[in-house]
Amino acid sequence: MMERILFALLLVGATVLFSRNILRITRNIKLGKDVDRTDRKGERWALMTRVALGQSKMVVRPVAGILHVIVYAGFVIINIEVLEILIDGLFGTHRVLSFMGGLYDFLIGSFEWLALGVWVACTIFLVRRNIIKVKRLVMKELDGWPKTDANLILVTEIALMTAFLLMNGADQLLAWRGEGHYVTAGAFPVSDAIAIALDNWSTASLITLERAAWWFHIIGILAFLNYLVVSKHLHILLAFPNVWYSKLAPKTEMTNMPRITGEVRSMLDPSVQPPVPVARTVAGMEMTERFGAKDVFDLSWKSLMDAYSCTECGRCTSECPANLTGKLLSPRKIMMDTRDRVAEVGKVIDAKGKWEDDGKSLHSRVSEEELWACTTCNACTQACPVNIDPVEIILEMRRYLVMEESKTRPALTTMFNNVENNGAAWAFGPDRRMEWAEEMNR
Amino acid sequence: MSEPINIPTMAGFAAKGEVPEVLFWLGCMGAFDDRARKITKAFVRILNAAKVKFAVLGQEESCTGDPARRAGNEFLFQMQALQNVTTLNGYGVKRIVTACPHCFNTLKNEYPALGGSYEVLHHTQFINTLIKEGRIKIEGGSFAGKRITFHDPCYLGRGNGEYEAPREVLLKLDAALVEMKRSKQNGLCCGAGGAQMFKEAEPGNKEVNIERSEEALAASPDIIAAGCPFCNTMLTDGVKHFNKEGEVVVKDVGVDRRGGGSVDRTGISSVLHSRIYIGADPFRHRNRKKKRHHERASDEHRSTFPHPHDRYHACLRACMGVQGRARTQPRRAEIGT
Repeated sequence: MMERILFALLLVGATVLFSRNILRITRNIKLGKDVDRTDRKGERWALMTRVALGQSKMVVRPVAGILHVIVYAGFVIINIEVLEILIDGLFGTHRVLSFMGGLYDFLIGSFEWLALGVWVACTIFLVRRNIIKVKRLVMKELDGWPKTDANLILVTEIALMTAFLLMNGADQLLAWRGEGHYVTAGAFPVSDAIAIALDNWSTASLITLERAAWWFHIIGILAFLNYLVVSKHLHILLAFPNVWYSKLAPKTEMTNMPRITGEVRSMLDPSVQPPVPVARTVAGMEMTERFGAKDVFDLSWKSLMDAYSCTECGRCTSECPANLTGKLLSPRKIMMDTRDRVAEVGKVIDAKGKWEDDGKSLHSRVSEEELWACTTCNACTQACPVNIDPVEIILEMRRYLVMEESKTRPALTTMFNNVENNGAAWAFGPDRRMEWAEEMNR
Repeated sequence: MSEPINIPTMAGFAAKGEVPEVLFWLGCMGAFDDRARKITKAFVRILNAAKVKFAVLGQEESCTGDPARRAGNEFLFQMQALQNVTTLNGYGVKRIVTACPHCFNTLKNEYPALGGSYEVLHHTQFINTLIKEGRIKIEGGSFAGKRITFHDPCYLGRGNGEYEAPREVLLKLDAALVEMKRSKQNGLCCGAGGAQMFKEAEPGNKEVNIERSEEALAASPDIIAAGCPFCNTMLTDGVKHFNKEGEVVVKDVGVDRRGGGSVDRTGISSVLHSRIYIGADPFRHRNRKKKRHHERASDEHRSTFPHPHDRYHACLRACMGVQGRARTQPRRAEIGT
């Protein structure tokens, strides 16, 4: 009975904590500006099914992709077993779903193979990160916490799978010995081997091992659930909505700024009143509309969701022409910086109840050199397995630099000048636009 | 040429109360850049050969604003865009064809939000349609068996999902199409997009166009084809870089439009924007210095012009005297045909 109460308390505690953190992250995402991404619903569901559920962009890189599919399938399917664990824990039953007979055997059997698959895949992932040192997994922006985070996730998953298989092994052996409530249920293709290896253990130690593994497994899962919210691993939840809310417009289309359209119209026609800047209240602070993005408040909520969905795999960076040729820009770092900044802002709001300017901004983390290195080729958005769009953040930040700070690259100033005076990026006037036609008759 | 070629303008059509089948939007490269002008002329020959009733805007055409927008200057973009939309709508333009993927993207995707909705086609799409409709025929076969690799311009391919039209046209030449390691959705940028064409590259250890040219040459093509005047310039520069290094054996493919006028030749030349010229020219690749540009302090500027609107104009008018190491002219293709 004590066990059941303890379990119920743990479960409630973990759920409450998790819900609070999710609400906090939701609030942080909503610090961003409004953007409508609810059109073309059918297309969005299809996209989510293909890209998030179907992992279609993961397998573009077969090694990491297929290993990831194993871990992903393991995560999704083994959670069916977690359901049973929850019921068993709350009601003191044992393998409550075993009445399903043949289907149960099949399910448990496939969980076992998947658990082994996850174990092997995570081990290979650790090797890729720490021994082979795959380039995109050891880049500078991962130094410190991001690297620890990645390893912690992998080690935890290996530990959880080990506990799961040990539990099954001990359970199976106890059932063979006809102990207490341990029933022969399910097929244990993997843990049978463990059971055989444990054969010389006493029944008492086997029960201890089984219980310990059971508790470790379930506490581990509950702890991991709450670890998600401070980790890049949040992608396992956000990948789905993030793909659903993808930009469906052509990748190279930039969002319009209606207020500037109003400004320009009023410049061209003095009878048109310039638009009044709209202020918006965010986290208890009134913010006037800016041109471009100075801070996370000036980005769309989708950009902020992108930031929380990023699992730092670095496929974007490894395809980025700027990064490949040694420039400072890394699209992954743009996403990490955005998430770290929005988390930082969130902490201020948590501490003070509302937002108070801390003298910092997104530009404190992202340098001009990074922003000006982008060719807007969208290789990063193409490469991202969950349709994150770093280009939008880069271009919004450029807009801020140019229109609010008058900061640009000198050569670009010349280009602006030419476009305004000559209607061309170079110093050629309109009168020379048809010279080519004369050449045709020469 | 026996008969002088007259290039019809929208104004000319309007004066006669007629409407052309399509507006040919040149783009600034197509109007001013030496290499891109050849593409313009070749495309006009194709249009004439196919008896397409087309017109150009001539002096009324102005930059779409694409580079200004990508460089963060939304004001300037919108000034250009609203002006162009007024011109285009004034002539009742419905259909536009352009040889520049950047103009293509802006006209097609970004003008609708500003009141300008048109059917916009890239010239490779247009040529492909002309071939399919039987309005032009490929003759000759001087490209039969040649290895051609197509470089996907980002703003045509990844940006707008058009990978097939240029390839279909190339295949019509009986050429062998070879793909680079990174192509179509995964194609590597030439390095010019996002207004990079108009500035020095940020500090790094390699130029993007060199990286891409290296990859293109690895496919051992006879011809590198591009569908964008910017890509064309970048790849031509890159190929010359390797020519200098003596790593490539080059021979002139000789897509000469001057003597021709046959549909074959003009068709090809307009599509194959970039060619490998082997050994013909001295190495002219500029070793661009990786200089970090110091930013002008902006605090004073901000206090003088507190309103962004004013700052923008101050930026345009007052501050623009600061000259960078800009290219004030298009990069010329320094090669002889």
